[in-house]
Amino acid sequence: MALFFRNTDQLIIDLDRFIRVVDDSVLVFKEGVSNYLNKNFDNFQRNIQMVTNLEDRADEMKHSIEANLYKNSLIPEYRGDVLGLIDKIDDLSDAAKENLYQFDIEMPKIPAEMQDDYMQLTEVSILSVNEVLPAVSGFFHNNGDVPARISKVYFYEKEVDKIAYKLKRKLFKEMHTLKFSEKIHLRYFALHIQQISDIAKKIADIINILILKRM
Amino acid sequence: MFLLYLFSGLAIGFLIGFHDITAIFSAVLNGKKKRLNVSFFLVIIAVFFGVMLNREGTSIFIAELARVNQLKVGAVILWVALITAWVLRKKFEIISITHTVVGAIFGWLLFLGTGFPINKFLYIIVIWLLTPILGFLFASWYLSLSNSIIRRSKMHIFKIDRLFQSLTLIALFIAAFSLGANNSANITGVYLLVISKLNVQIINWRLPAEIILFFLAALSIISGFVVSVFYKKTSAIKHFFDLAPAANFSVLLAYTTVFFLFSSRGLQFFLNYIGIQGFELVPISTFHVLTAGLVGISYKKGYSIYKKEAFTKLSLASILAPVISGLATFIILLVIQFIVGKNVFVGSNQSSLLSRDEELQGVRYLFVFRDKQTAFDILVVLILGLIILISYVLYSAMQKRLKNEKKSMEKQALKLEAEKEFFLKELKYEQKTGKRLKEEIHFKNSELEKFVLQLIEKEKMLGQLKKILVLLKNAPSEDERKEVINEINFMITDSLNLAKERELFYSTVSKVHGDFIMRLTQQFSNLSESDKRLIAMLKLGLSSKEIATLSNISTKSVEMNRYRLRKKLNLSPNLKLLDFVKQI
Repeated sequence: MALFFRNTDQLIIDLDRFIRVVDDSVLVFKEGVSNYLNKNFDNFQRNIQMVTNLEDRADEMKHSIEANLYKNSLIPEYRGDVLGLIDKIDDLSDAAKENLYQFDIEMPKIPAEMQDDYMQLTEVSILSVNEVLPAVSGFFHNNGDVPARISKVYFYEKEVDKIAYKLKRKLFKEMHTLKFSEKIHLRYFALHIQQISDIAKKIADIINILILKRM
Repeated sequence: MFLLYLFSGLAIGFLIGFHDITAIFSAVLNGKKKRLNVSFFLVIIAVFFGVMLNREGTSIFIAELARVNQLKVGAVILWVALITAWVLRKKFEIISITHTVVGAIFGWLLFLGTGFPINKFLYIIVIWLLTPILGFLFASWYLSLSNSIIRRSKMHIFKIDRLFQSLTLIALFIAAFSLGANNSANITGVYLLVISKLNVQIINWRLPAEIILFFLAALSIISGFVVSVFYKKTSAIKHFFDLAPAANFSVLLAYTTVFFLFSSRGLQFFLNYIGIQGFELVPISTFHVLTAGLVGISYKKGYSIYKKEAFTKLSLASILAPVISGLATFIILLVIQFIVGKNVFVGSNQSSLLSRDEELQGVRYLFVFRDKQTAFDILVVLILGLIILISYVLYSAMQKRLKNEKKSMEKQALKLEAEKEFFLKELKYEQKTGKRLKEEIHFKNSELEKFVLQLIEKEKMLGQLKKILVLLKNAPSEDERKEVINEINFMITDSLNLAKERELFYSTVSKVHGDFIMRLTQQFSNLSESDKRLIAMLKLGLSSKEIATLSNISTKSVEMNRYRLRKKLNLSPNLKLLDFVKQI
């Protein structure tokens, strides 16, 4: 039996590792934002280095998984969907890296009154990822309550939207000391953070379709 | 001449290979390039052995039904069936060769005029109706079973996929074997009686003609399949297996089961042995069983995975194909007889036809007892039955457990939902209360601020009064003195309310910080009134300078008072007085 599943086992291990690497990169992103907001710039630089390494690893693993899926002729009926799913998961680590780079390059001046809002936005965005990655794993491993996790992803994504709306409203209606250009700049950072939960939602959509197809 | 008469049969075999075998082969087509070569050779081997080993199953039925006594009659029947299938395929896309062949045989029987075999006719109709129903039931049942096993096994989807690929390969092998065994009757059935007693000399080797006939039938089916695969003519039937692995396997296994039922002589022998008489092996249609399987899968999934238009066409074709084929055969035979002569097909003696019954019995006897395969077939049927029984027991148990789990989960979900609703309500209430309290604090803070400012103003006023008194002392005239006294009187009256305002200060502090003054008095009974006042002002967040102004003392005195207070409170050097006051 072990011989029969030899190639499959390796692919499963690779896929699990890939998900873990992406999960790590998103957690590093959260830590990076926290360090940036608390002005711990040394730690922030370390976070950038870490997220870059993790993103590189995720990319390599993604290519290897894609090649093996073809080589072993696995899941031919919905290989396209699974490849799309893996691509989207990789987008999470890409977005985490890109966002931290943007913080590093553009150095947005986040007022003290807005720091909590940005941190909350980041945390809830990461919550959606914390649900979607176990959902992916659960889907592949055929265990775990995948539909419940997917519902949570949708819930968190909506919450992120609400928080982002409040944040932007506060930015433009209450922060009179900020210039308009600064407000616009800060708004973009809210959008960047929001992007993480948007990707999580897209991943949830793909899993939903895959569940239907596999029935 | 022999081969010329056989040509129509071989062409039919080619069509069966080209369409039917390729249809089931498409189960392994979707991207599974890795095992495609293996599958291809397995199908060829399975078809060959299916035709050769089980050759007298359905062929006997056709031979018995057709009672063809001349090769040329068989050739005419098969040519008409072939042309009908070819013409109708253009209109309906998918046509069952079995239907046209059997239809043509009934046309021949009608032409013979020796009595229409109504029992056999009804039996075929029942079986043709029954096989799609069985396909539907088996496919939906197998899918439920597969899904249930998948859910229970908690296997990774890659492993499930690999497993189902292998199982599909095994099912494909048995399906090709059964299809070869079942549908070879369409090629050989009408010739069987004529050649059953003939031998063919090949160099120095004498072989029964019947073996050669089945060998050629197998070759024709295989060649049709090979041509179809090499020319990739699979698009018309590929959609049959454009499914998920479990569904793919379920349809193919349902097909395999149904075809095995109607091609296994072992099963027939077994049923006859246990007393179920009259069970005959009948050639059946691949596309009907496959389509019924798809409908079964759709039923289980809850949405359609087949084209309804194709389904309607297939249903219409299944009625039209045998009818048109039968009528065409009847008319063509009549025309040929009219042109060539009366006894061209029937022979000079009608009784010679009736004597075919005896020959048939002979052939049947020969086939049934010659083949040692029967025991093996019985074994296969028993194992298959056992597998189905065990699967059913397992499936029932799983279904029961799943139902119970679902029920308890539903209950839990309801409970959670109620809890969630309750918490949401509570959260809303808390949010509302919090908002109201925040507003209250904000309002009181602003009131307090106003009050402190007023106090500062009063203290300032007293300072001014002091200066005016100096002016009064040094006033040169009576008028000027009176004027200053009036001013002083006005200022004093104005500041008479100071004590009241101080009381108000304490009460305001209490309003903002709850029962702060009371707590302070309870905890530190040794504090004087001025100490309490100092603490209250610190609690309000006033600076030493502001306290000095309020108390009308210097900042240095305030610092001294703070120092004394620290001593009274026994504070450690590390603890700031302000922090301590905030904690009270």
